[in-house]
Amino acid sequence: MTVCFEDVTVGDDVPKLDKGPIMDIELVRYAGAVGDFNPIHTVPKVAQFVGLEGIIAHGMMIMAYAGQMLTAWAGPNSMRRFKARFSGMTRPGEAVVCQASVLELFEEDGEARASGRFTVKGKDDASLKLKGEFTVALPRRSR
Amino acid sequence: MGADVVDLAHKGKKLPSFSYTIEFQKVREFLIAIGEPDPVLTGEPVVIPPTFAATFPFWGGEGWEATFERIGVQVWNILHAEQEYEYFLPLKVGDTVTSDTHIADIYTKKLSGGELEFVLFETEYTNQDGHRVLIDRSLVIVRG
Repeated sequence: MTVCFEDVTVGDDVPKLDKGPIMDIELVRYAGAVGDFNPIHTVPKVAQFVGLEGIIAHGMMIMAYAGQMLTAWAGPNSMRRFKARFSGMTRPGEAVVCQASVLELFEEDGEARASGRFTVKGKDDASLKLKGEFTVALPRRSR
Repeated sequence: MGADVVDLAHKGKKLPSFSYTIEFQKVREFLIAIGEPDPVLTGEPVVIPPTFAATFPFWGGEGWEATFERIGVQVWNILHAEQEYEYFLPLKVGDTVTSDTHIADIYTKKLSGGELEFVLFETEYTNQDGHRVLIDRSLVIVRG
């Protein structure tokens, strides 16, 4: 069940989402799904050659996880704005935690909306993978 | 590899427009890739996830490898710095989106280790009815 606007308070945390550990093959699968075959995500030799010490996950795959957390909470097609800054690399074998909290509740374009910030961090070392801002439209409780 | 430097003259440049039709199997593949249940097994209606638009430049357009070649950069020398989407209408399977992309900015930032160059691509997508559905802002670091 997704949340209703009336049930949300500024400062609320969105239910967090655990992902991973991320397997090498998931990077290959995501590369095919998105069509981004930059070899730094799938070919260890290239990643080494450009100084990355091994393949790294697509930042967009990690952002997708944050999107899963937010739409699980706010509902399908609820996203109005979604922005991420990629801060750290995610490597195969790592597990990550997505977290978000609500900073503002408002009306815009005839919709009830919530905006806030989110992070994705490494589960073991709390290293920041990405942080960002979101705005979602929330359903109103039927009267 | 050598350093790739982006000519500031590319600022404002438009990229070729493309159209892309959202297909069920492509959405399904994306959902499975990010760990969502397979919609064929669940029988649930497919919802397009917020970052599915990341597929558009690759499966609809020429892809980043070709795009960065246009500005003299090898794709393995870039890192994704920021990504922003603004959503105006929900996307659904069967929609056809058409792109309008330009290089919105090129700038350098001085850091302790040297200079980093940033390139910002901005794309507006319209649907088959001519309505704006999405704005995509992709900020990329060129590793010198």
